[in-house]
Amino acid sequence: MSRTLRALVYGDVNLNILDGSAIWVQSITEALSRCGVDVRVLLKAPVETGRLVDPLRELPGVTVVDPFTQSRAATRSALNASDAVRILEQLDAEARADLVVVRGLRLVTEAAASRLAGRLWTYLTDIPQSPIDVTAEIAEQLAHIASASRFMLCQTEELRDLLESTVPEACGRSVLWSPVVPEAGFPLPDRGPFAGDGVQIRPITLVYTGKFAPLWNTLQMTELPALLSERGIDVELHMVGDKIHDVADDPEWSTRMRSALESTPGVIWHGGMPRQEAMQLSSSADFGLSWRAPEMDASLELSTKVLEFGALAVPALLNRTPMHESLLGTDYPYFVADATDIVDALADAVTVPTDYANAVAAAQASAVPFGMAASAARLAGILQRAFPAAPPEVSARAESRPLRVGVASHDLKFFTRILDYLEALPGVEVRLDAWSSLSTHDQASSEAMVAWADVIVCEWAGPNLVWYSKHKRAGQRLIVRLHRFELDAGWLSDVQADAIDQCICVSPFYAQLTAQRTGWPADRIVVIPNWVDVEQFNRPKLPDVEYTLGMIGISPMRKRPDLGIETLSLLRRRDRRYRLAVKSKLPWDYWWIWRKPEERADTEALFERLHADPTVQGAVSFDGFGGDVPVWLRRVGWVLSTSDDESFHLAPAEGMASGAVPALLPWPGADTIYDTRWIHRDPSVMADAIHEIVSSGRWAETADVAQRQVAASFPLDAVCEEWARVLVTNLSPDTAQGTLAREG
Amino acid sequence: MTEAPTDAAPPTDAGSQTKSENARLRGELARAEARAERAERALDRMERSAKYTVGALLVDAAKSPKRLLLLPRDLWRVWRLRKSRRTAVAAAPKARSLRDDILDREAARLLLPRIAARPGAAFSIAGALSTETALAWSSCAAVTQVQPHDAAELALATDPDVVVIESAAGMPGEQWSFLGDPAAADRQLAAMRLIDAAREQGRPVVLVRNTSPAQTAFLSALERECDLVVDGPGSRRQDPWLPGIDLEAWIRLAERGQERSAVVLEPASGGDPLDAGRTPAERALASVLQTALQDQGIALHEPDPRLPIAAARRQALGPATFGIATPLRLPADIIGARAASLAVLASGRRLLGPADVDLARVLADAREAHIQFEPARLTNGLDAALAPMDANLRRGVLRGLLLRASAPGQLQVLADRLGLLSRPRACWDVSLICEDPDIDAVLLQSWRPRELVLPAPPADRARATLEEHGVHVVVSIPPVPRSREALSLACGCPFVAAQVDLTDPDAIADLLVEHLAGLPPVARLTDAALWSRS
Repeated sequence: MSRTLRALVYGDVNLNILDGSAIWVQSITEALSRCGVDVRVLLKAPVETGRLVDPLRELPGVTVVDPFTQSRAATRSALNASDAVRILEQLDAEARADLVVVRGLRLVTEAAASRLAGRLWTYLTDIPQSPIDVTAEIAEQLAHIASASRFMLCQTEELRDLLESTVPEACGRSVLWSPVVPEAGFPLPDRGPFAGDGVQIRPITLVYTGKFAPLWNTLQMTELPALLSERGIDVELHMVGDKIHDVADDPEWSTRMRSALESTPGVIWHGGMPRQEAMQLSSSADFGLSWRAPEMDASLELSTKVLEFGALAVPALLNRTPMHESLLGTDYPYFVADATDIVDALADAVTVPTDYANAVAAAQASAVPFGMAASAARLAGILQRAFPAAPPEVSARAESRPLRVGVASHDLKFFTRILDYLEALPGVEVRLDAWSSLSTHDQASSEAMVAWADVIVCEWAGPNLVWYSKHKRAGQRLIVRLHRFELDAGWLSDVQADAIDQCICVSPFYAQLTAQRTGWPADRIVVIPNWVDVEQFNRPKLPDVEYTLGMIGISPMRKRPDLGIETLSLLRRRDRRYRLAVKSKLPWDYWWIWRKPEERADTEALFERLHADPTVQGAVSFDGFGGDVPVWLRRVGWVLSTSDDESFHLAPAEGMASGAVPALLPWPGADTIYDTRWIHRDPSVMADAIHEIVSSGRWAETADVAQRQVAASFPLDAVCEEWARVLVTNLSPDTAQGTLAREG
Repeated sequence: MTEAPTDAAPPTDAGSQTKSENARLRGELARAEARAERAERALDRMERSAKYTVGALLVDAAKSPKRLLLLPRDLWRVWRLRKSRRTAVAAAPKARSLRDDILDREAARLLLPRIAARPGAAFSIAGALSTETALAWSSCAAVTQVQPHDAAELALATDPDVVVIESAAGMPGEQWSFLGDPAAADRQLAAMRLIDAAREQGRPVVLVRNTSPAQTAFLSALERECDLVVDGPGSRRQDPWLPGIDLEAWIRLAERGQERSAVVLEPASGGDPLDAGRTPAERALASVLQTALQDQGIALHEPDPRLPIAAARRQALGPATFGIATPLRLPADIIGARAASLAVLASGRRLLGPADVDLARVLADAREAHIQFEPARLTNGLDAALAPMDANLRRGVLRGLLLRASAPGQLQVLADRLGLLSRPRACWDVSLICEDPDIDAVLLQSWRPRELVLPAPPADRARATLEEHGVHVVVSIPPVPRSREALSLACGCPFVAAQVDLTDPDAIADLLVEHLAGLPPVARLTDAALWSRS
């Protein structure tokens, strides 16, 4: 970021009431402030208490906009969504915001239809929690919101999974914005041990803070002191909170709960407490209680209480869920399912102090990424991506006026993220010359582009390049990116080669091939690799994925899915746990493939084998096609690349970024992109290598090596910077030599 | 080649205006595409609406007498379908040409395997099934294991009696792996399409939750769409039901090993076979057991995970003297009687495992086959587990399994609950030949005969009572001498029983298990016999 950014924040929440939504407004505002952003926070309701608003006012660079005292709101009633969006637009008109952070489905829906679209950072929790409940109407609403969002902030990985799987527009825009744990405003106490030499030396203290409700097991918690006493364990249970739920189908529940709180021996009920005081009390406890009914295991939200206990060095007794396992580790000793488990866990804590010490360490470590410092650092990364600084060469060139970049192409699918980046660069203006097909365009638009632009980028070396090479102005910079298929097309002979300043290929192999086939000057043929958004792909893997091979894109048949299936067959003869997942359209989804008899014949043979060969029967799943590849890769341990030829093949790189291990057959040029350790002579050798790594327990470490390699070789930010540089300066032809693979 | 631009600088905010214009144009395009897609979906919804469907059916019926005859059935299906009217989000069609549609219809058949339904099977099931359950049910039903990518199409093609979605099919390594995990929304949507396909055919859908509550928690939205939700082993106790085992397959593995060894048929994935539990308490129990096994020189076998499940279990069970049930502690609200435990017992081996009320219910009068795992008395427990079962105990175990945990019996329970006329139990149906039966005693049989073969017609009331309880009456006793062949000719069931002492309510069940397991017949008051007609 090269300038001070301006943000508008509106949480659609009454900041007079202390709840999760209000805390969220407070945390996002503080995090933005820590990133040096000027923040205007719009209030929803007139200020009745300064408990939450006053601390906001004290943050550097933060202005609280009270629409009720500044004549922006028509009445003293809390703002409705329309009014809020209208006022946000007013504020934006007064000083244009770079980002507008908004929360809540109704408000966000309104904002998506406003002039703020494109700059929205949206946060939604009030959406369906299951794909089954995402109706077509809701999907459409979310798609509209996603299209208008620069980023969609997701509280958990699980919520991001759901969003990206059901709303294609959310793919690539969804980033994690986890709960932020407040910092303790007091030194953590030294509790001292509760046991020595396997004997309890003082009462163990348990603490619960929050609401009292059946699904939160709060009534069962009050039985713990008696149960533990039967095992000879002396405990005190401290319970904080004053909100006792009424239960529709059990009207007596709240009475029983209150009575248990008031009169159970060993239970100390503190009633409601301010947050810092509750935290101080919690910090003096030996264990926090976050044991809930199993129905709660389905929640896509992460309990802030668990994180808070962790930050206070208090290990929690909590349910074993995939989310908690990834937070605390599968070996965390205090996962519990019922009261008996809790009794056993505490008995263990008395006799095995190392378990307790390990749990404290795990809990503390788990909270660190959710602290304000770490959250602000994460936010800074997101801001950096959204508002990149221009490389010095570009900044210098754009001192007098913005650099004008025209992009001419019939298909931008491999250029979108680069385009986003270029558009976001300060000092760069981008315009599009959208060709309606490979060879058809609006000549007037192209001529206007020639007249306007300083730099023309032809994405694909198609007839667009032929035209611009003949019509560009003297001194106008012409850059072309050549992928693969263009080399076999006839039009390249019509290109005026000396008009091209830089021809960009995605791999050294294709750069050399381009030089051979076209005869263009080799010193102008350079390599900028394809990009991989490592941060988007880097997500936790699901269990046992080392047995799942993945293929992305199996059409047409030169992608050689048959060799992938042969590899699977060889593996399943050794271990039946291996499976193959395919993320792809199928050949018959492309009429231009399916009309070819040889494609049909090969496809039929492929499926015949899948149905008839017992080694692969039922072991291959076709998981469709879509942009949710990062989500899908969470369940894949290996990504195969078995094609006859490729210019780059992003699939293995995306797999590597996701934490999978790549396995390639030696298509021409593969070794100029990927480390040869991933390239195998044939399916038999590939199967040997895969099985050797899995059966020796080295899959995780190998995946780690692959992930570090891809992050060092073609990360999105580095690739984008190269693209920015090439707008104003020639790259070295040395980039077209050697290999792109770098050790991480 | 490149010179510095010389023209004058534009206004400073021109860049942001251009960006806004680009963003606006992209937005316009996206919205136009969304509108087109919306229109497509509206058309799709209209075409799938009950109104449209009923109209089309009426038109077809008016045109064709054959369709007219089928009209009531078709309308009934529409009625069933009405609940499931929905637009599948993931399957929302993109704008496509007619040519693409034609190509798709021609080609998508390649995804479908050849359907391997057993001809003449009395019951057919299609569904998202674990390998273990599909194997168990295949003993008595035509089972089609569908995959996420072919589920709806296969269900339509096979037209099964019932569609089943089993949560165990979503475990890692299974065809529906990660069903229920938010990272596998596509699996849930595929399951939803399977449900829609079943509804289209008027077939019931059953969800079997037989994994831990944490693993089924995300399936709550699917549960709402199913006709019946039952809970199997591993799930929380709400509507308990055991999927049943392939009893005959396990009986065949009755040859016990000679060495002092134990088997765990359901190990945790990877690592120590006893390390299924991961809480400190469970680990402590595992440690106690491991020490005791070592002290007594008892080897431990487990299935080789690399092999297909059936082969792996055969291999592991072969040398074993007794089985160990895992996990070693079973919470009271979690259903037990896991298939692996039942399999060990069916193979004639005792089982050492935690207190398990579901297993106790299955074993009823043969509870000593299950040695309760008590750390304090483990030496005695291991001695008891090593002791072979006598014939009486084995008969009792098999009777319990036949009646309460065999695939045909349990699927029959399911079919009855769904009101289906199909008879999964038909493979073990018995024709009972009687001269002058006590109707009440017939009906009190724990394995009730399907057919009562009598020499003379019974009283109308008796016949009605029998028929009401699903026992058909056949009046056809051949003349003496009555050979088995001659008697068999008079009967319609796969098994025939004669000379049965009906005062023993387990008489037929015991005869059947003796036959299935090849047990020596027990001394009886009569010359009771049961034989197969085939």
